[in-house]
Order: sequence, then C-alpha cells, then structure tokens
Amino acid sequence: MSAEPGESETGPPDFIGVGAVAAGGGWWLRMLLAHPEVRGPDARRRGLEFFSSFCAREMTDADVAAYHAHFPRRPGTVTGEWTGRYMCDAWTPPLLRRVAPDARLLVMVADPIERYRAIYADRVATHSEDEIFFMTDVADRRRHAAQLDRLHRFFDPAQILVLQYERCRADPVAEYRRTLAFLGVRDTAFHPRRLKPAAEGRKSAVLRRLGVPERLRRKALERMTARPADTQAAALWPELEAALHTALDDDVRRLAGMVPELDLERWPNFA
Amino acid sequence: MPPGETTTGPPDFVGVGTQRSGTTWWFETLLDHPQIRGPRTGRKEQHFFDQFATRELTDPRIARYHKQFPRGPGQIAGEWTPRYMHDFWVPPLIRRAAPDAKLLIMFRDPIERYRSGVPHRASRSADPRMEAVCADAAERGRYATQLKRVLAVHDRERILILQYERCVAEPATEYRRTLAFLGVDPDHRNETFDTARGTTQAASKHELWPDLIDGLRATLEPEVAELGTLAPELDISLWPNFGGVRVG
Repeated sequence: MSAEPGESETGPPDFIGVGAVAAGGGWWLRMLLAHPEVRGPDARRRGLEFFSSFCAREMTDADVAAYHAHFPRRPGTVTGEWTGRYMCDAWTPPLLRRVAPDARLLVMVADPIERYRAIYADRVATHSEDEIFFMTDVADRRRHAAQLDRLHRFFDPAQILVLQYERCRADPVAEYRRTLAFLGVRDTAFHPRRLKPAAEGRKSAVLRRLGVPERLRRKALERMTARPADTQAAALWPELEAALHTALDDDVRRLAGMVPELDLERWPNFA
Repeated sequence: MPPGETTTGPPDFVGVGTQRSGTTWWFETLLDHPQIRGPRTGRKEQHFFDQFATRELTDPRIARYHKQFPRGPGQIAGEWTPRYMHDFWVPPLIRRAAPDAKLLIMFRDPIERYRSGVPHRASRSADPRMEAVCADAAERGRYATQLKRVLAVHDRERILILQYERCVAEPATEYRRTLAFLGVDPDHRNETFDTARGTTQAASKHELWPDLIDGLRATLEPEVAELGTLAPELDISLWPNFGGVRVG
C-alpha cells in the first residue's frame, strides 16, 4: 500500500468491526468511511478477513506487522476495518488482542430470527429442491451473547460498542453520532447525506421487473444506493420456528442484560 | 423378512451426540448384545433428520424412518447419529418420530474432540475452507447449549449421558450401565474391551498453539462449567484441559 502525503507510518487500527455476520456492518462501515476523519485499509477491501487462516497455523510477529501495514496513520484521523466473522470464530478474539490491544471494537446485531429467515431464503435460492443443506452454522452465529462473553475475556467491555441494526435504520443520524463519539472522532456533527434511509423506489422496481434474482437485486441496490436493501425473508414452518426460539431465546435474553440499550421492541420475534 | 424379525417401528433408542467421541466403538459394543439391533441398512448413522432444516417432517416420512428398525421378539433397535444434538431443529423431531425412544449421549473432553474433529471434518466436508471446518468443530463442543436444547423437549430420565474417558477407563462398568438403561440383559459380557478403545487417531490430531488454546478455552469453559451442573454424573476431572473449571 502506498503512503499518501502526511502518512508514513502504519500501526494497529484504532477500531475493528468484529460482528455480526450479515447484520449491516458493511453498510455502517461505508457510512463511517464517508466521514473525513475516518479511514479504512483500502478503498475496495473494507473487510480484511485477516484472521481466517490462523485456525490452521499460528500467527507470527510478521503476520502482526502485515496486519498493521494495512493501516496507514494520518494525524487527525482514525482508521479501522470491519469483518463480520471475527466475533464468531473461536480463535480470533485472542488474536485481535495481540494485534490491537487498544482498539475499539464495533459490533452490530440484528434480529437473529429475521437474519436466519433472510439467509435461509438465500440458500434456498442457490440450492436445488432436493438438495440437503444445513442451517446449523446460521443459528450458531446468531448467539451474540455467547460471542460477547468470549470477547469480554480479551477486551474491556468499555472498549466495545454494540449497535442495533434496526435502531441504526430507524434513527441513523443519532446512532452515527454515537458511533463517532465512541471512536473519538472530533467532528460528530458531520453525517453523510446518504445515511438517511430511503425507499428503494424506482431502481428496485426496475430490477424486479427485469426478473433479477433476489440476491443479485439486493447487491446491485446496495451498490447503487450505498444503503442496505430490504431483504425478502422466507416463511418458516411452526416446528422450525419453535426450535429456533429454543435455540436463541435464552441468548437474546442474556444479550439484553449485557447491552441495556438494546431495544427488544425492535425485534418482534423476541419482544 | 428373515425369521425372528416380526416388527418394525420407531427406534427404541437414538444416540444423538457427539462426533469424534467414541460413539462408533460404543455402538458396535451395543450391537454385540443379542437383544440389540441396528438399522436395516447396517449403518450406525441414519442422518434421517438432517433434511428437515429445509422441509417439514411429515407422517409418511416418519413411517419410512420406522421401517429402518426391524427387531425380533425381546429385541430393541436403534441408531446413533452424532450430529443430531448439534442441529437445533432435530431434538423436537426425534420426540415426534420416536416419542418413547431413549437417548444416548457420549461426551468427550471438548478440546480433544476439537483436535480430532478438525481433520475428520476436513477430509469429508463439502466446504473445504479451513475456517468453516474449524468454526464447526469449535461449535460442536458447546455441549451445554446442545444439551439444554435436548432437555427442552425430552425427559431427563430418558437420557443416558456417557463420558468417553470413563468408558475407556471402566468399559465393563459403563457397558453394564448402558445396557441397564436400555432395558436389556445387563449381564452380557463384551469380549472386545481388552483390545478396542475407540478410534483416537492421535497421530492425525489437529495441532494446537497458545492463541488457539486461549480462544477454545474462552469458548468452551463456560459450556463445561454449565454442563457439570446439567449432568453431575460427568467427572470433569477426567478432562485435564478444563482442570480449573468451576462447575455451576
């Protein structure tokens, strides 16, 4: 990576978005990077997925230096990345502490059952009717209280900001400012114009009329508008819904205890 | 149907966990008993409930499942699919398909299970990415989480919890306990215990290093502590990786 004028050193990131998978973190990072005081590692690679390989081999000091090299320092800015799976991989939290012990961690969570429905719809669309596929990993990744518990073993809870996707969608400016303040950004009055939600409108209607598959339509819309597109969630049957609740209710209750600002009224499946 | 096989029906027992914990060894010892039958296919693992992540379990499908379990007079029949307990949708379906079945669970030190599970899964998984393999192997060690899902729909007295390390140390005693739980003659002697101890595959176990051990412990210690409360018959001291865990 070539250094720009005024940036000659690299070092640990000031913040790392660590979760959750497919819960709006990519959108939120795009909004953060629109702030003049916030920088990412690279214009195209916002999520580095840096630690995935360290389940199979030990992370060395050279790897740590390679991670730091992604983050050029410029006075008056904060720098970071967001990779949604960091929080759910057992081996990653101790590595995060090694590479960036003072970093602030961002977590965005969304209604686990709504996310399950959306991912299920995606997988159904990419598999044949008779093909068996598992959804175990999807439910496991939504156990955010257990994941936060694990993070707390390696980071002071005061270093972690947990955001709620539904609240960010409903009141993006207030949540954006809260995020900036947490990151120590000086100008908390700034927010990007495209932060505010808008109806998908004409672009979405055109894509639907053209018969663009749901997954591609959502990706295209997100690229065009820089906003998360509404997902088409699949309907589940009662027995599966009940099993999902058995798997997740307890964890959501614990999460609400750990994150008092979490508004369960915004998660109708758990309200 | 050969002579003596008079009926099919729901399994009398279903082993539901856990992978890489000696379940094949233990199931084979059970099949050595003249009163115990395995599935018609000869396969220990039926994986019947895997498919119901994406479709509803219907009565005709339940009837097909029941046909897998022939048994003669005085015999019982069952199967053992270790991932049943790991898949959240399965425990209530077992209750519907086999409401009177007894459940068997074999637990093993979850870090040793992880070390054995990674190479096992890497060699068989449809998703060869190591991070997917390792994430799955770590999640499968969340025993308390899985056991609570089972307990939510199955009576505790219908579940036998076994511990691999104890079965290795005292096979005859644990065998007798298993047979008594299943309601068959507990005095049957298995002659293989002096030679067979399950498949540890020690040579191919996944290597661990300090960061990885830290991450696994942070994930699994709370689970082991809670498991000790849910299943006080487990002897956590047999799991040296969790020697410092306080049960409760």
